[in-house]
Amino acid sequence: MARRSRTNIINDMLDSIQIKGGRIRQTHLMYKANLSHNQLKVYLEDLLSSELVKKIKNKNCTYLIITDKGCEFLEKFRQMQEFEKSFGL
Amino acid sequence: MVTQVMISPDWFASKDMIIQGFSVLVLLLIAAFSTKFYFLKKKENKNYLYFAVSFLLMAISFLWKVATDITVFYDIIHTKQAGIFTITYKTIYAEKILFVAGHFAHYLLMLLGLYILYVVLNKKSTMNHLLILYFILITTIFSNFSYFIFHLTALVLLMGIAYRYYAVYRKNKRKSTKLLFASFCILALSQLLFMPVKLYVNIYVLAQAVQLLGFLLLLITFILVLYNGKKKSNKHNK
Repeated sequence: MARRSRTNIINDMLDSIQIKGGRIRQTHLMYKANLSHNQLKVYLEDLLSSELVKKIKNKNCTYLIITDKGCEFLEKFRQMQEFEKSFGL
Repeated sequence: MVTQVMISPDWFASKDMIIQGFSVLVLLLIAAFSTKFYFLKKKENKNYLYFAVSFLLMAISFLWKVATDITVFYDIIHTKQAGIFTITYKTIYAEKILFVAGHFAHYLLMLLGLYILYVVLNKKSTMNHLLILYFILITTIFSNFSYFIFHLTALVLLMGIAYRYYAVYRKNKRKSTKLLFASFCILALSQLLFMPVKLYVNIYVLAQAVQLLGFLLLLITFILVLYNGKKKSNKHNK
């Protein structure tokens, strides 16, 4: 299987959050997006700093929530994937 | 002298510029989105950039042709109205130089654009790019003596591109790729129709109409691709 690019990993993470209704726990995200703990830390920092996701605390758990900017990114990414497949790039 | 400069039938002159203007819009739209996707993917996939460059070159090529034709067309009208023999002669001589130079750029940019697109689609190509670029330059130079050579080369490249899309369609079975294959086939057909233009001048109108159809289908395909991407996104949001 081909190695995933950085953008593909970010897309997989955002996709996993969206599929879970826009909210997910950090450990679940790690499994859903097929990431190691270290990878998750690195990419999550990226997502938080670029405001594609945000953290919220609910009782004892910390959840990750996809932002509007994150949803917009996903929409553009899906259009790009469609473009890539259709135009044979 | 005037009929030597313009290939189009008199009644169709200037209308073909509208068709070419539409082609420029379609090509620029696809180039713009490809550039946007290139930056969205953080420059990971260079194919987006090459793809954008190829469409941009084709758009500039048409734009160049339209600009040349507009200048020549309006100058000819001006010359007709002036009606002084010596001045008319000089103007047409200048126009011929402009026409040749303008069309040289049009031929070169169009063939380069088509070649880059062909290379992008043939990822495992082992062709020697320098050699091909040399042949494109030679073709462009000879196209100024006989426009037939330009249309023949464009036809070969377009058929190669259409064949690649057919191969991609056989793999992915996507409706949008099938439409792309159809649009490049139609564009190839238009090049075939452009070839005997000097023998039957009215076929120029048919060739332009077929070209318009090809670009219209390309635009529809592009809109369909964006719509499908958006539809998938909306499905996930629900």
